[in-house]
Amino acid sequence: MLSYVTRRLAALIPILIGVTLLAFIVSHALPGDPARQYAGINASEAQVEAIRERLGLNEPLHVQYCVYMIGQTCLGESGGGGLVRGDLGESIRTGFSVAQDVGARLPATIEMVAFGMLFALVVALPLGVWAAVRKGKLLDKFCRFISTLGVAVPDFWLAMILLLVFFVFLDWLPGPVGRLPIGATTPDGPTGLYLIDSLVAGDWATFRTAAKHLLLPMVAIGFPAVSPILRLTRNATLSVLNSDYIAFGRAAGLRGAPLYLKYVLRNALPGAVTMTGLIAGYMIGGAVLVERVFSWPGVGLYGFNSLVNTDYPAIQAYVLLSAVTYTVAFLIVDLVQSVIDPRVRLK
Amino acid sequence: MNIRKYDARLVIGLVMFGFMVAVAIFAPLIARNDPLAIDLTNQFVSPSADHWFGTASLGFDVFSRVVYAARHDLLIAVSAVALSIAIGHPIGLLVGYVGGWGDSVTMRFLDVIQAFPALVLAIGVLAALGQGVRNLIIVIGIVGVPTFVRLVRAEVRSLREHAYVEAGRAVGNSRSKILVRYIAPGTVGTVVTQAAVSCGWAILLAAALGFIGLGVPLPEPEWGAMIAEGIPEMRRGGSWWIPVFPGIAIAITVFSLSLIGESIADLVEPTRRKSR
Repeated sequence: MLSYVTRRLAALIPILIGVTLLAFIVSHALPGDPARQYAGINASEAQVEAIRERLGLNEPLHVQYCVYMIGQTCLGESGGGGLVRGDLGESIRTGFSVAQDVGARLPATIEMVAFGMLFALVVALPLGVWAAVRKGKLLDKFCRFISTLGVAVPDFWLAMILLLVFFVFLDWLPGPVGRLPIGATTPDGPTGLYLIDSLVAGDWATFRTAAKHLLLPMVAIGFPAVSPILRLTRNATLSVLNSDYIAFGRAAGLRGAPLYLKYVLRNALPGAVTMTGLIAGYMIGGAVLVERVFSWPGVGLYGFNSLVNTDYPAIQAYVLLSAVTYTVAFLIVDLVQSVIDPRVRLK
Repeated sequence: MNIRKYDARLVIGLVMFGFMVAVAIFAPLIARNDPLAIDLTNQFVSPSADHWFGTASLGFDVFSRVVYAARHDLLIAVSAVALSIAIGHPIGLLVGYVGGWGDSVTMRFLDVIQAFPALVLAIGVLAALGQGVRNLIIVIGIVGVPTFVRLVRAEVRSLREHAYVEAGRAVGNSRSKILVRYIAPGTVGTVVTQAAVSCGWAILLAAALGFIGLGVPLPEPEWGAMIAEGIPEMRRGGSWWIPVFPGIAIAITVFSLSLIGESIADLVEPTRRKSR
């Protein structure tokens, strides 16, 4: 098992190096001059040139990549830095270290994605089991309709429709202003997840406000995940229902909720949870559009703004983060599967 | 098993998609106004007999723009998927059949590309290449290539073990002939199925790029960009018709393509049908 894990981890390294290289090429091919952005509109050509020199943008591309990866040693200078030492560099746009920038925004995305996935599970699991039980009936057909529709509706559009209904027309929920009302004090806490931090601090008012702000983004990000989880649960439940041990359980007199909850759902659950994990891994970097609609201050929005402003180190960090969460989610899924089914390890 | 039911899904899907294609082709006959006509006296008018879907800023007629946008979105999606297949299918055939280091290198390269969230990769490449319909097709097409390579490769690897391929080899066919005559035809089914699904996915990606502002340049109509036009109006409170209708157009198109994809998959792969 250990050798399998190390083998899989080792296989990740070249992929991630490839990702940094591709991200480097793409970001440096962007139109726009980060030095000029940094200098401001009124800067003279000499000032821009000085900044360009300071940021190391005058070096040849391969040297710049080398500096990004292993630090100043590439230029024959002493000094640290570089991705291998865990240094993501400094954002050209914000002036902070990129790690600090991303760290400040990551909880917002994690909170949205985690609750979105929770929403998807809560909706999809019971529906999936129920649809399997009522296979071929109206409910099953309705579920199939919902899951096909879920793939067809763009998440950013759904986000806007939710805002139109619950903010513009009904005025029940707050508008697209982010995680809390503008000017509200943010709850201090170890996790950075407002719901949890405010709960720990016993600050009910903040908890309720944060929950209200989270509700629509949660649904918008969670709804597309309902379809695959629903399908998976339904199909898994169907095969469980046809199994011998359920036939035995039935013969022994089990039925109704105990049968479904204890024996059926439990066997359908691992697949659904795995799928949810995969989607969550993808969503950390892929939630750009929903974050944009809700002005949600997460990493997706940060990545997008970095891209627009040709902020090389920030783009790199964002792309790397997306790739890492995505591939690590895949890896975890594979590992979980290899625990369940040892044959996977042999491949 | 009841075969008719699946045909019904295919028929519904084809009718819905055919409808959208017809809308795109006959746009000048269906649209009642010029999609680019500016009418400053009639901005943000709610849906009425004159403007079925209302008007947007500058007095753009939303109905005409939704109709004309079908041209852009469908053209981009279909061309992009055609490009994905044109690149991905032969590569998948080749690496799947030949194997060896070429296969390994290709698969590692695909791993790298697929480690990017598709939207992020598309935004980056498109921002680098610059806006425009041609670049959109290239970017969405390239982002879709790995799916087809993987699909075809997996298919080839299972097909080449079949007895009929062995028989073809035994009667003295060359390797290239085996690949083209014996194996390639067997991969068409999965590619067609995936093409329908990918087409829906391509429309969503095109719309997402348009939504961000990297799509078809304004003032040309495109569904995603039209939805984005609704954001500032929504903050001012209203004009729901600006984002709602283009979104419905996207949903109908992608929904129909999913139906087509699913029902073809059931036809091609009869074992899937059992669980239905």
